Amino acid sequence: MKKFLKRTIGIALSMTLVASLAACGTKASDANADAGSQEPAAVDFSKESVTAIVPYDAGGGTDTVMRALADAAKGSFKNITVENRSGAGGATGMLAGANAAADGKTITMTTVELTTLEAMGTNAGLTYSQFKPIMMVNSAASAITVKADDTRFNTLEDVLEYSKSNGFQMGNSGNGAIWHLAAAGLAKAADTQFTHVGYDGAAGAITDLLGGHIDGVAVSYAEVANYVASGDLKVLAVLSDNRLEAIPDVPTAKESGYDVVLGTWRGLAVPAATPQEVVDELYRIFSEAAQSEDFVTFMNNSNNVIEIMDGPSYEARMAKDLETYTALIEDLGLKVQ
Amino acid sequence: MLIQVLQSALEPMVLLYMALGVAAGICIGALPGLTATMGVALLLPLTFGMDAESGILMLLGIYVGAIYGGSISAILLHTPGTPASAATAIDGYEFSKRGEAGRALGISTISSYIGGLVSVLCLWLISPQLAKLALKFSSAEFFLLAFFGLCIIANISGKDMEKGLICGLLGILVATIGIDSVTSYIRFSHNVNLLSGVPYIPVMIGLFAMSQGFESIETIYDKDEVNCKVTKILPHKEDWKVILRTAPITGLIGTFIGIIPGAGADIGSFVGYNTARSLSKTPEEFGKGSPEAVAASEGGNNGVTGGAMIPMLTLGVPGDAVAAIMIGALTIQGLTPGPMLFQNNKVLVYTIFFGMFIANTFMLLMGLSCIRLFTKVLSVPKTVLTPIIFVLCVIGSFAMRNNLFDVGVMLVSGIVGYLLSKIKVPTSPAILGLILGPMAEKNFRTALLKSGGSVNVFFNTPICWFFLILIFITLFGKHIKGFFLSFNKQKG
Amino acid sequence: MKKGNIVFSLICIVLGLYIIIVTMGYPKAAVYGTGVPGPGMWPGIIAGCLVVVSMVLLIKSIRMPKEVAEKVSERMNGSKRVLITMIGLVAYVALLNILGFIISTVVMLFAFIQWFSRGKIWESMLISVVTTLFIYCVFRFLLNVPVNFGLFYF
Repeated sequence: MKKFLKRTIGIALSMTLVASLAACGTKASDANADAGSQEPAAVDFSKESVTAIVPYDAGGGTDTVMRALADAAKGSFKNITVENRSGAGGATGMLAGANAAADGKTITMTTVELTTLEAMGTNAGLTYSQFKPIMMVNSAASAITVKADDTRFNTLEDVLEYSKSNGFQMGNSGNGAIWHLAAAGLAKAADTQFTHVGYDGAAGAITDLLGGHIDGVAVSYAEVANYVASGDLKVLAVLSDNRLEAIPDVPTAKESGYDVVLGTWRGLAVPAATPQEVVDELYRIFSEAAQSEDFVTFMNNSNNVIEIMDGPSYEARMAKDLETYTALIEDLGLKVQ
Repeated sequence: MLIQVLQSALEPMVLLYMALGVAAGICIGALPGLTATMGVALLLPLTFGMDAESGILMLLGIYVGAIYGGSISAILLHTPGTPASAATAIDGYEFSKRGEAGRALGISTISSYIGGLVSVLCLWLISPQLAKLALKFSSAEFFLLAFFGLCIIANISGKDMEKGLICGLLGILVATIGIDSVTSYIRFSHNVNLLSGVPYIPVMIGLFAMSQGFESIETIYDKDEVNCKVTKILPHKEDWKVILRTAPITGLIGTFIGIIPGAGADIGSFVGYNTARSLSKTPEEFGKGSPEAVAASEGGNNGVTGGAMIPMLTLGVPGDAVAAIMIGALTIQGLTPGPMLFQNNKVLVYTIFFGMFIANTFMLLMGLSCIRLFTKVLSVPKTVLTPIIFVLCVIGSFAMRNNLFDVGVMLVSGIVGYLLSKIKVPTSPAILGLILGPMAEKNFRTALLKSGGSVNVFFNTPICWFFLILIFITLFGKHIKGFFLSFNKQKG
Repeated sequence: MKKGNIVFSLICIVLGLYIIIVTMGYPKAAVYGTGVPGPGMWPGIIAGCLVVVSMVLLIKSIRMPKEVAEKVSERMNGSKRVLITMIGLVAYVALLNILGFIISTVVMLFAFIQWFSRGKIWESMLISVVTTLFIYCVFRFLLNVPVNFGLFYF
């Protein structure tokens, strides 16, 4: 018996070690949880625990945006937990979110992959109509980027001309991923072709470009911003409606006569059966959070563009994108049988 | 600037967080099924409320601690606590069988410290230069690197080479399930949970921890053969010599492996182990409980810790999975890793360097003073510990992606792993295959895509040739050595 | 060992051949027109290697001298125990999704610990409840892992 006790104490001791450590960390983040607003509303979330599903790994771009937003909105809930459910290019997590209880207590961060996966045929039954969108939070357009000391390319026109005769190696964040489709969309509009080189994530493509192993990349501006600032890379064009605030001198593809507006977006959604008043309340909470100073500062620091869009327009954007990507993927022959 | 760095690194709160990080890391690492990556990923949210220095250094503490902690269960239970200690388990467990667990733990503690120090030194001194070299790596080089890693399988599987190779090949094949990353063609299974590939952490937990659990069930009523009593920890004079000869070299190798994106501490320890064996005067002792082997593998895996930070800080490219999470941690603090970090946040960068040195020192002190406490977990009787390990395996494989499917993957791997070990098939090659297989395939095809189908791309650069020579030596080194030996004999 | 080796290598040979046949049906490089090997090449080559190495193992194992029979009874008992454990764990994992983490884990731990250590019932009970609650709390509240599956959400 004595031996048994001794052993139990042994386990307990070593385990409390882990416990005490973790406790130190949580204190700091809980400190200002009670400071939230208590406006009376038809639906009251202040006593509810809410879960936000991120369909990608912890530490990634989507995850950090969701966590920053959750942090900005935590005053409106009893607590809000961010849960990472990665796998199948985001389908696993989004499916889990779409099939959750329709009470507004499980919010999913939906990304552009909600449309591209379906277009690709790797969606495993996932489709955007399973969700009722709350709002779009952030968007990023593709930036056609090359090495700064590459004298061959100074304008978008140079790239397109070159690609017609020599084959232009365009890096992207993965086969069938959004930046692959964006580059393909540009090529289609300009009636040319790129050699698309896929990597596991944008970072790999950018490193390969920095090392001079490929000709250019078509990832978001946020992902190349540091290297543009340091003078290693230059952006030739952005595939957005308007010029980006951070790089006002860089023209859009539209200005050069190619009507391509392609890029990624992230937003929040709940299962389709969720009552409208719940969605409205969530929209109120999160649109406030998205305009809070902390969140804006975070987004600016991480070179993310805040683009708030209400539920209906967000849904319209999804429908339009699905159409665009389905056509593009058909052209590329990427559709999975 | 030096004063600023010292000030921010030696601030009591920062030191406290680091110490807690290292302690938690050692516990996490020591528990089979909880890896360094998982520990850092799971504790990442705790850093959101901290300032940048405390947050990052706590995570680094966890990382350093966990990589070291894995060796404790590797030595005492023959179950690597983290995959990084898979090579340690081979020899470390032999010590425990002989009742010399303390000796092995001492060697592993000191070697881990030396490996860590070497890597911090590299991080500190040469990170900008090495980052330039890392930029020269492209698909062809990555393919050769992965291929080189796969060749090691033949060398680590000892006398059962065929079985080791088969196991490695099975690992590579399992890794091809799911969407092909080059053509998006779905291979072998349309199950949604497998589309992005078989999750390898549950496989690893199953192969190592679960199957070990089954094995101890088999002999559950036998008296414990292993003497878990840890007596003297500080190594004696002979061992010191071995450690000082081996650990700095494998630490350096580990650092280099760490710099290479994608290659983590698990590969670092295997390459270290392998190199030490080929340099050793008594290579036949490897696998039978050689102090050199433990020192090599532990120096190698802790060497990776600093190395993995080099491309992360200078380029924003993660050196391994843990570094990838660190990028997230930095981003949340509003800092973007990359060249700009060195210009704008010099103090922070050097605080990280210095902090890593302190974290390693904490690891050494805790390793030497509290090892008995850590091993207490493992002195629980088998009859109680084994079921608990089962629970940890289940929840550990669930926690990575919060997916019950992964628990099933773990269970199947555990059963397969147990059956394989029954016919003496070494299972660690499967992990190498699982990790390196996709890397090799993808980069092989990407290299060909970039070269327009020409194979010359694999012979174009000095780095390619460097790896080609390494591969040649790995595959045919024994024969060459034999040839020269016989040549010398003839001469003499 | 000898028998095990032969069975193992035969399984691997069959598996390798099966994979080769499956991958033959995959689209060829020409379909993509980029000069890059198609999706079937890599697994095909690896499966080919698997067949070759397994054949070597098969031949080596056949040539192995017959080994002396082991003490069967001891071994058999152990193997039976492992088999029961495996079935128990499969049932446990299946139950997780229905009964939730806490209930199924307490039951599983109690059953195994009582079976193995044959100690006092209250002692096994105490250990299993305390361990389960501890693990649950650490993962659920400290590490924010949603261990809230099953009917009752815990």
